Amino acid sequence: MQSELSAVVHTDILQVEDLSVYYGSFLALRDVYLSIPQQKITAFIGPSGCGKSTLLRCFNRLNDFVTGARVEGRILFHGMNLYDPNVDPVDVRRRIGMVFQKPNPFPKSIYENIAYGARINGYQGNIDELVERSLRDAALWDEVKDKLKQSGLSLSGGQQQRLCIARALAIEPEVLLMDEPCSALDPISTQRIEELMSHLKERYTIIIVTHNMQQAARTSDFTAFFNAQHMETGERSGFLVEYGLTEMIFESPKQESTQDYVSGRFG
Amino acid sequence: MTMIDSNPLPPEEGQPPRYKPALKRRYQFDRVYATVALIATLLGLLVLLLLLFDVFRDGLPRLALNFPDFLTSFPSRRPLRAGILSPLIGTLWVLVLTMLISIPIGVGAGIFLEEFATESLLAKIIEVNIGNLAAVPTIIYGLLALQVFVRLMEPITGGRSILSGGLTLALLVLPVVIVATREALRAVPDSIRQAGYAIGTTRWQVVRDHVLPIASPGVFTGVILALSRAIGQAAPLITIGALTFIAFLPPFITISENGVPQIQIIDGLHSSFTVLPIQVYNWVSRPQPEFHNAAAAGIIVLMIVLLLMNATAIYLRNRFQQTRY
Amino acid sequence: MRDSVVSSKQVADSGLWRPKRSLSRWSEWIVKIVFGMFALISIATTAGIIFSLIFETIEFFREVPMWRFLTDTQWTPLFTNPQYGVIVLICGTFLTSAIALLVAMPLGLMAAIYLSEYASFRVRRWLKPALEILAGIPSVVYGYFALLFITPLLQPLIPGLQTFNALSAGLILGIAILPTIASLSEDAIYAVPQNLRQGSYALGAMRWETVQNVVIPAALSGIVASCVLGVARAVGETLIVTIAAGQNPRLTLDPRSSVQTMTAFIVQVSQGDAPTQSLEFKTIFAVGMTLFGITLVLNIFSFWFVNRFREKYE
Repeated sequence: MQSELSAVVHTDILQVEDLSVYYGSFLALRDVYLSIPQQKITAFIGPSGCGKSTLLRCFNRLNDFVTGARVEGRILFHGMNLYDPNVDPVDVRRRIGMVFQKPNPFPKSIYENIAYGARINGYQGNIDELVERSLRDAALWDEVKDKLKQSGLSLSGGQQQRLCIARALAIEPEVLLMDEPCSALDPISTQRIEELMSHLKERYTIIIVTHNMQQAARTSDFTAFFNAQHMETGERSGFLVEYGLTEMIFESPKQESTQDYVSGRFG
Repeated sequence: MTMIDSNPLPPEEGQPPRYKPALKRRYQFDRVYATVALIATLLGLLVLLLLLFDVFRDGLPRLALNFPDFLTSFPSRRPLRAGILSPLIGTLWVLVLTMLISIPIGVGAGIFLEEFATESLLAKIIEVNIGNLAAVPTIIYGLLALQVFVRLMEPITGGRSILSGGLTLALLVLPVVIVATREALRAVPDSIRQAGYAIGTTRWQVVRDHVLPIASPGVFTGVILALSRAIGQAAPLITIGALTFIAFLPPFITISENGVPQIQIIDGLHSSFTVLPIQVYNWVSRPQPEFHNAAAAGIIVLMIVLLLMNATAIYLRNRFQQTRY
Repeated sequence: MRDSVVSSKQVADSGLWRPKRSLSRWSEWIVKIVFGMFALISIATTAGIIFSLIFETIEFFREVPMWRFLTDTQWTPLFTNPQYGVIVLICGTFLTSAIALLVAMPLGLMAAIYLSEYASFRVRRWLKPALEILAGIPSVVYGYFALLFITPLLQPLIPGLQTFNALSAGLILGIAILPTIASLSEDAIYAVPQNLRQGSYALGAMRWETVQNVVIPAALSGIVASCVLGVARAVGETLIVTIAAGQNPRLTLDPRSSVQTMTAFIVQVSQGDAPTQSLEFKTIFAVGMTLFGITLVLNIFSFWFVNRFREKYE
C-alpha cells in the first residue's frame, strides 16, 4: 500500500502505525497502517461496525471519553505520536477539528457558537473578524449575517451543519474530521457541503467517513475500505482492507471484498 | 520519551501563535471545579451522617433505658416514663388504612389511564394535574381533609378519627401510586398484550391475567416508597386534629368481660389517634431535655419503621428483577 | 366489542365454543367505569382543594377587609385587638425559603454536575441513592436536628442568634430540598445529548468549559424547573420551620431572629382546637389560600419557563 501511494507527490500529515482499538476486551479495530496526505480528501468507507468511525475518533482522541477504550499502536501527526503521554488531548483537538454525523449546534447564538472555540482556546486576534471569516469559509455568511444573535438551533438542518463546519474552522485546525456529515441532510444540503469540501481542501486536510459510496467517489482523492470480520470469540472486529487513490479503489480494486462492496453487492 | 515540553506537538506555521490555549491554567481550574462539585455532593451526605449521629447519641440511651418499656408504655407527663406505644400502633394502623385505600384506587386509576384511555384528553389532563399536585404543600392537603373528611363526611369518618387520617394520607400518596402504576405497566412489553388478544380475550382479561402480574413488583415498589414518605408526614395530620396525648389504643379488638375477643371495626376506625411524627413533634416542642431525648428515641423508632419499608421495597425489586421480560 | 364481530355461524363447530361474551363485555364495561372514576379522583382532589379553601376564605374576607389582610404590618389574630397583616407570615416564609434556596441551589446543581459529568459509573451508583436518602428523612427529624444540633452549634459563632431562628431552619430546609433540586437537575443534565458534549470537546474544551458553556445552557429549562419545585417545597414545608424558626410573627429579614411562616401559623391554630365557626378557624384557610396561590404561581412560572426555553433536540 505504501509503495503505491508514494507514486503520488504529497506529504503525509498523519501516519497510522499498527493501530488497534479495544473497548474493554472487545477488539473494535485491528492492525491498521495508513497515511493521510496533506490537503487532500481521504474517504473511509465500509459496512457498519468496521471501525471507520472509531479510527476517525482516534485522530482527535475523542475516544478518550469512552470508558474502557484503549488504543495500541501509534498515530503520528507531523511525525509526533498523538498518543504520547506528553501530548495533551485538548491541544490535539485544537489542531484537528471535527464535524459530527448529526448537526449539533450549541444552545447559543450563531455568533457565540463560532466564538466559543476561539475564546476557550485563547484566540489572540479579533473575534468578530474570525466569526465572519469562518462563516464565509463555510458558505453560510450571506444567509446568517443579519441574524447572528439568533439561536443556532433556529437554522435549518443543512445550515446547522454548515454552522458546525464554521465552528470547527474557527479554531483554525489543520485537519478536519467529518463523521458522515451529510447522513442527516437532504440532497441539496448534501451537495452544498460537498462543494464546500472541495474548496476547503485547498487549506485543510479532510478525512470523511461516509456510508454513501457516490459521495466518496465524487469528493475524495483517496479512499480506504474497511471491513469487519468474525473473530474466534464471535465478535466482529474491523480492519483495513485496501487503501489507495479513489479511482483505483472504485475502478480496479485489488481485493475481491472491495470490488463487492463498491459495486453494491454487500454492506 | 525525554520530552519535557508540555506541548510536544510540532509548532504551527505562522508566528507569533494565534492561539494561546493556557492549558495548564485550564487544567488546574478543571481540577478545582471537580473538587468543588465533589465537596458539594458530599456535604449533603455529611449532614445526613451528622443528623444520624446526633439522633442516635441523644436517643439510644433513652431507648435502652428499661428496654423495651419505651415501646410498650403510653405517653406520659413524666418524661422518663413516657413511651411510644399509642403513636407506634397509630402509625401502623394509619399505614394499613392508607394502603387499603390508596392501592386499589391508585392502581385502578393507573390501569385506566395506561390501558384503557391511553393518549386520551383525560389522560393528558390528569397527567398535568398530577404534576401540579406534586407541588402542592402537604399542609394544604390537611386543610382539604379537614373540610371534607372531618367536617363534611363526619357521619362516615367519625370526624378527627384514624379513618380520616388514613384517607388524608391516601389522598397524598395517590398521585405517586398512579404514576408508579403507569410506569410499571408501561414497562410490560406490548407483545404480552398482543398475545392475549390473539387468543380472543378482552382488554380487561389481558390486563388482569397477564399484564398486572408482571407489573405488580414495580407497582408495589413504587407504592411502598410513596407510603414511606407519607408515614413521615405530620403536618396534614396535625391540621385534621390528630391528638398528641393518647393513652389508649384504637379499639379494633377488645376483650369483653368474659374474656372473648371482639372485633369492632367501626369503633376502631372512628377512634382518635396519634402517630409517631406528631408525638416526636410534641416532645421536641417541650422545654425539658428529657423530652428531647424521648423525641430522639421516637425518631429512631420512626426511622426503623421507614427502613423496614424501604428494605421491603428493595427486596421486592431485586426479587423480581431477574424475571424481567 | 370486536369479539362479537365473529358470528358463530362462521365457526365450523359452533357448539363447542360458547365464550361468555356478554359477561366479559359487562365486566369490562364496569371495570372501565370504576377505574375511570378512580382516575377522576386526582382531578377531584385539585377541585376539592380549591373549593375547601375558597369558601372559608370568602367568609374570612367578610369579617376582615382584604386590603387590611394585604397591607397591615402586624399579624396578631389571637390578640384582643387582632391585626391580620399576612405580609408578616409571607416574610417569614420568604426568609426561610430564601436561605434554603441559597443552600440548596448551588449544592444541588454542583452535585448534579458531579454525578452526571465527573463521577464514574460505580461512584454514581452509590452516591445517587445515598443522596436520595436525604429526601426520605421525615421533616420532623430535620426539625429536631435544626433546633437541637444546628442552633446550639451556631450560637457561639453568631452573636444574637435566638433559640428559635430563621437561619437554622433555613439551612436545614435547604438540606431537605437539596435532593429534589439535585435529582431533577441531574435528570435534565443527563438528558443533554452526548453529541453536544462531544462537539464541545472536539473544539478543545475541557470538562468544566463544556459544562458551563454547553451542558448547563442546554439543560437550563430542566434546572430552573427543579429549582422552582424546590422553592415550592420550601414554601410549603411545615415542621422544620415550625420547630426551628418558632411561632413569633415578626416583619423582619434578620435571619437570627425567630419568625413565623404561613405553615407554622396553620399548625399553631390547628393545635389550639379552634371552634369551626370562629374567625380564627377561617384565618387558617385564608392563609392556606395565600400559600396555595404562591405555589400555584411558582408552578405556572415553571410551566411557562420550560415551554418557552426548552431546547429541542431530536
